[in-house]
Amino acid sequence: MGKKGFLDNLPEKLTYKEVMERVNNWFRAQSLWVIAYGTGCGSIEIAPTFTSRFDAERMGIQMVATPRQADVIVISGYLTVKTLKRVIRVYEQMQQPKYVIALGSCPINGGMYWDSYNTINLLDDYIPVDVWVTGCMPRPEALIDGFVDLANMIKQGKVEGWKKYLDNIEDYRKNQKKIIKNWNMPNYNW
Amino acid sequence: MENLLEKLKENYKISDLLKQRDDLYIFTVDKSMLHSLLYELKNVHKFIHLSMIACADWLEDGKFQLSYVVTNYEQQIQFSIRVFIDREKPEFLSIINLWAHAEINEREIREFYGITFDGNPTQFEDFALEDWDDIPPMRRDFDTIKYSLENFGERPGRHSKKVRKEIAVQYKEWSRK
Repeated sequence: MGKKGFLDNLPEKLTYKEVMERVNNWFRAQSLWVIAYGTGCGSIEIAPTFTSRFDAERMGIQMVATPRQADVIVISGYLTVKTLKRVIRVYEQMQQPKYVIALGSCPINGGMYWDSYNTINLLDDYIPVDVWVTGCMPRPEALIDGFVDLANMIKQGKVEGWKKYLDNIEDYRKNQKKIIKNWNMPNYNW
Repeated sequence: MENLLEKLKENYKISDLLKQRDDLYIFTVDKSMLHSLLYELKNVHKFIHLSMIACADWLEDGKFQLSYVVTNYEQQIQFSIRVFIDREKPEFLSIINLWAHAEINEREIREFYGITFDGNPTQFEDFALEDWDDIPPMRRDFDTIKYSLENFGERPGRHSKKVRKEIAVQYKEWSRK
């Protein structure tokens, strides 16, 4: 990936903080760690992405086991209300900065399950989404393309989803509590 | 197998016998007779396995249909035994004293159709849904589109036909080349 670096297109005057932010962003884009968590049928496409044929690890993308180590969560396919509860909990346990990729048409508008009684239709009402990958199902190449887009956006400092979540936490909570009726989740103090 | 069926016809109220395949017979039995029939099939005629319990909603007739599928592995034969119960009063007796694994089947039917099974201790636990507070979702009078639109919303442009028309036009141009 790495032709464009943090030294390109520098304005003349930058503060120390801004420079360090660019350096940090460049490093973050080189090692996107994904939590090994699949929500729907799309998780069947995640496994081959990390095998030797597609080999996502050449770009620093690898699977990790716990939310505390992960930078990225991939929402792979349809999301039921029951799974959404787990996704919110996983997302809130991840360390900042954190990124969300929505894979497939179901998180975008419900896909073929748009009229189901327990799958959600609008994912960005509940958690902020940075990259959408369309298709039903997207092949591993499309997923890797989504990762490359995400890395380029991180390098340019354009990924603001997790900040948006912190700023609008009450709106997100209102939407989440509307469909998760028995809210028995812990409050994480970020 | 015909001998067995005639013997059963004498002892139980069996109707609507249908030979679906060589190894599958479907028939209806009165709901008061079901448990003794299953007991005899399991212990005397070696139908040792309960393969599944299925449910169907006959909204117009006001009835629920439960289908108990039992298998005899020595003769490789299956019976699908249908029972009709009242839709207004969806109650039935559990069969977990015959097959313990019927517990989870009955729990699923209780959650998706709202039929309660007397004698099943775990039937009110969650099976697939969590905190469901509407009428059971597999009943035919449950409006799933209305429920989805009220609770989960809809992305604008979901039903737009512009995209399809555009794809059709582009496909025609592409196929001419």
